[in-house]
Amino acid sequence: MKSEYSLFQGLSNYSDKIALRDLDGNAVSYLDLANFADKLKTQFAEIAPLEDSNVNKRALTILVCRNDISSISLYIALIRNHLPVMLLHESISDDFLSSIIHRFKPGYVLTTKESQHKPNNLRDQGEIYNHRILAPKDQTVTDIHPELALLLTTSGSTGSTKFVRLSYKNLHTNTVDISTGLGVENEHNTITTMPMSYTYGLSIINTHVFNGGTILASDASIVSKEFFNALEDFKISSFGGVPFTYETLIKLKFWKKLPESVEYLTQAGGKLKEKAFKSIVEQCGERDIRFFSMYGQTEATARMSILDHALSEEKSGSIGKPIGSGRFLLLNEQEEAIYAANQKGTLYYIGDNACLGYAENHQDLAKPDANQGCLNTGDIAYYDEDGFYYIVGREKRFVKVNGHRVSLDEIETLLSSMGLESAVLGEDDNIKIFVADENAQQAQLKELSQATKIPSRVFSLKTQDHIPRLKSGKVDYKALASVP
Amino acid sequence: MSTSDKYIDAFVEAFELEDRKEAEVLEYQSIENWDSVGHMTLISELEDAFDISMETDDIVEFSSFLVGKEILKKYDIAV
Repeated sequence: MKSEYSLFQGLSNYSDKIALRDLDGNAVSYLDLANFADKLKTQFAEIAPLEDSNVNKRALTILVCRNDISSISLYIALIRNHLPVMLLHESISDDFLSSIIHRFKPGYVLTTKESQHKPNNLRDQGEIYNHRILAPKDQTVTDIHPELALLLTTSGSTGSTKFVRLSYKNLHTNTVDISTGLGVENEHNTITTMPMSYTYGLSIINTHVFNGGTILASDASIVSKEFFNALEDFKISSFGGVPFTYETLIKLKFWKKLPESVEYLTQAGGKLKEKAFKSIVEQCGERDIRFFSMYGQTEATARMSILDHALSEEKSGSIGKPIGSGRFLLLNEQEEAIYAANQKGTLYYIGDNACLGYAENHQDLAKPDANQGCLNTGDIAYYDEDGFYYIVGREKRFVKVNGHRVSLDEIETLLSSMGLESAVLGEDDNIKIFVADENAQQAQLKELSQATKIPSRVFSLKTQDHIPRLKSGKVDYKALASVP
Repeated sequence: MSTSDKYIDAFVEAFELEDRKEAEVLEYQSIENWDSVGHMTLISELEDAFDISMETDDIVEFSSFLVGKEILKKYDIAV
């Protein structure tokens, strides 16, 4: 059975209102988007079957995207037509794209004209908007769970082929809850500040299209003249950013250049440094701008909690309270629930936006819901007397670099494939690579940087006599962490 | 040290360049390290090296090695 949830069913309700714009003056209305979705379905069906009469068989589309009207329109059209889609950023290499195609057996691959990807063994089937349509020679529909809507990468940078499976219900629930939490309205204009293949960037697109707002699709950097001109020219009401976005904007003294149209700002993707947080809250207070600090992850579609703007001073450092119908649960080391304030435990999230699970190949796409609405966030947290949650640490071995999750284990694997055995530790925006190999070179860091697209300044190489290990033979990360 | 050397040094430091000759052809986002974080690092290197405080407009217009030379003229620095 087709999913009963559909995020973009109501596009025509906003009729000729502008949905998407770009800096070249192009504009697309909500009616255009609805018509485009119909056109896509017809055009795809002419190439190959979209689904079998057995509705559990559908064709997966891989959408290589950038922040432009073409990519966003295609994403909306695919979701609206209940066609499962995987989003990949256009900076992906041809080799990596080919390996993903090999693993997931998509029916269609849409690549941006600018990126000129040429994955192996695909036939050119013309174009749609600014994308090329590629299809495998022996394209066919595969078993795909009827609720599966979207596949997002867990960490695009390390070349991992692990994707988060998100359902139509996940998308719908989270979009409604975020919209309510932030007060997203149809007169709101936003500008893209993060890639749409990144869960946070995508959630901003979802909430604005769902509510009839207008999105300025742009890849302009926040440290460019284009960005500041766009804020002014397009009367932007809000935008989002990860901690480094705000830290940079503060250094830029951007408050002076923020137009009066800005009503609210959002932040997620890691914890802001206290000083930066205070500075933003203060400046926003003076300018009557609502500032929302939020917490989430791809596995929860996007958001799990929001700190209400009115409490950002009083509850500074908190991730707020769960959004909408979601709730948090803390478990102690014996896996018992904690029902007392100020006691640390592993943070679980329960809600309809908890993903279906992961997928590493096309067989996984048919799998049922592995989580049943419950996620282990991997974070250690507590709540205060008023029920506000605070993150104090992380159980899982990953850090955030520029707001994006990077798995330390995957960095180790990648280095190993480059011939360098290492133990990797780190904190956000700072990854330490411990090696016992005296021949380890900065050149290898450069290679790592090129492979991961992570700036080399994030990595530091530490040469040790030996890497401490537990009796099991596993790296003793605790002992390693105490190395000065 | 000459002004020109100081200018190149800022790029070498900010972007961890191995070869000074690389600096001259650089543009914003032409290398992994010149992203928005690297950009702000470069600006602080330049501000320290020349003892200046750059205006927001100049920071956001600083889009390449060559454009940067023009911008620094406003601060009476001839590279």
